[in-house]
Amino acid sequence: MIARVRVIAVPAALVVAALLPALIPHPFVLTLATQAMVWALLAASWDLLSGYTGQVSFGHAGFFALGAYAAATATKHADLSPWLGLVFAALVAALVGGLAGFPALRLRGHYLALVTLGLAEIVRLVAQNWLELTGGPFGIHDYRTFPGLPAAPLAHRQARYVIVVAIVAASVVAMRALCERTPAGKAFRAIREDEVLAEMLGIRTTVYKLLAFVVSSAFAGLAGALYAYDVQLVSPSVASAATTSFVIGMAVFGGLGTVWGPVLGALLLFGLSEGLRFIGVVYNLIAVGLVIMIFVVFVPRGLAGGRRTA
Amino acid sequence: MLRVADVRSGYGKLEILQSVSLAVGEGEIVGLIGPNGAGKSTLLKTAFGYLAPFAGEVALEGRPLVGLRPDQVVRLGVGYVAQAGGLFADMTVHENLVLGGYALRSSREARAAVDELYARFPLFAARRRQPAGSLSGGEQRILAVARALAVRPRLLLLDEPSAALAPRFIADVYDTIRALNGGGIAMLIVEQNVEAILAVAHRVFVLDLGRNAFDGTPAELRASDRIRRLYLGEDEG
Repeated sequence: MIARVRVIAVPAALVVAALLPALIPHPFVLTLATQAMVWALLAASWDLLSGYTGQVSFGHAGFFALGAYAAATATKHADLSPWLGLVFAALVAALVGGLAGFPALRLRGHYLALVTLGLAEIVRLVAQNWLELTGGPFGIHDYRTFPGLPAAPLAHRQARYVIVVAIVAASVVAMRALCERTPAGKAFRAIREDEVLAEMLGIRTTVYKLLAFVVSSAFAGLAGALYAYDVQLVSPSVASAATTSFVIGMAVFGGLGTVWGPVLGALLLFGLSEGLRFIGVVYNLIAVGLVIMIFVVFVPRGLAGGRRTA
Repeated sequence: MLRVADVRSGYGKLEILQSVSLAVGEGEIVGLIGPNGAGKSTLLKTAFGYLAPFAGEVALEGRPLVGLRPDQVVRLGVGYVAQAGGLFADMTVHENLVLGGYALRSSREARAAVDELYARFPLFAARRRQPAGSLSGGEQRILAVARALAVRPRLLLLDEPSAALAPRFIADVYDTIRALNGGGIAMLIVEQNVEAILAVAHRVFVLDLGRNAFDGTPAELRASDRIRRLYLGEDEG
């Protein structure tokens, strides 16, 4: 059943995603679709760490915000090309992920979750109070986006969408390949299933956990940079716990430990939350929360049939 | 080859082993028995270097194992087979075997090791894509032993290889153990099934409340009234 869903749904989703600018050439729809893609990348990056290695992060919004601020500030204050800004953002998030992960990954379970939650809160507080660099509570804006795009509004929006889709698709393929086709991916899954046993076999669990943490942080940072260049405004709220909660919901809804499941979950849940805006900006989130709760109870493996939620 | 001398060990501040010593010679099977809570698994983990002892010495052919990472111990030629459930049940048979070779230095060496395992255990070659958790209890235990062979160990540490197995599967597991020992692999085996281990062990070591209670051959153990009463559940006379 799941295999059939994957065989049909994934190629269909890819075709629709690729043709969307032609199928629905509407700036509003394309704006939402672009943001959904950014969420998809963030959810997939969370899944790489938490779904594959079982190291639960409650602070992925922190890496997302780091990437967003790194890209926006580098472009605004140092006039860095947005193309290089993407790389810079991923590197900054990876570096902070590595520095935080090295001591944090010696912890397990709830302790690691609390450390990552604290890290995101630190990022949020720094962003809120470092006025000169980040713009403080009002955020950072007035910086350029990807160069060389068409000037006409619709064509500009279409081009921006295509760029984001291409980068997200390449990133998701790379993450999936890392997790499913490399020795590191097998080690990730072994750690998730039984970390002590993995260690007793001679698998260097700390090294692999750190690798997952760094790669996951880098892709979360890349998602943040795409967000920054698309939305053109980064404020401290992107680092909030609500961002991480939404991402975890997307990953669980889509199916943990699959990469593509959280992508699907993000696209559907983001679409649902935006589609239900007409009922009110709080009620739509309540509705999304209910959908996630129902899914956890009745479809614990998620849309993609990933591993069970504990 | 393995020497554990005057070891005190445990978890955190809890001392389980109180000055325990044992040795495993080349090609020898040493059985480690004792009541629940005696510290058998703790001794096995300490012998592997996974638990750092509070005091005492653990050495393989004179080289201290204390302070080494598990992958370093594995590379020195020590394999560890965990208690029941010691497999990655949701991963395939092939993935389990591949993971056994992660401590090897090169991927070519690791691939060759897995090929050798398939040649030695053709059953697993036929089931390579099957989830390990779907194998029978006995097959799972043999797979765990096979996986530990990926690094070509000279010493295997096995934690209760017969636990929770039906009698016919216990026979299969011990046939595998005998065959491996015939190939020169020394073993230290923690076991609750006393009859099974006495049938294959060259020497038996009894642990009680974290202390040495007996060290001798199976025949000597059977000849000791006190040990027989205490650990084999046999009546006097």
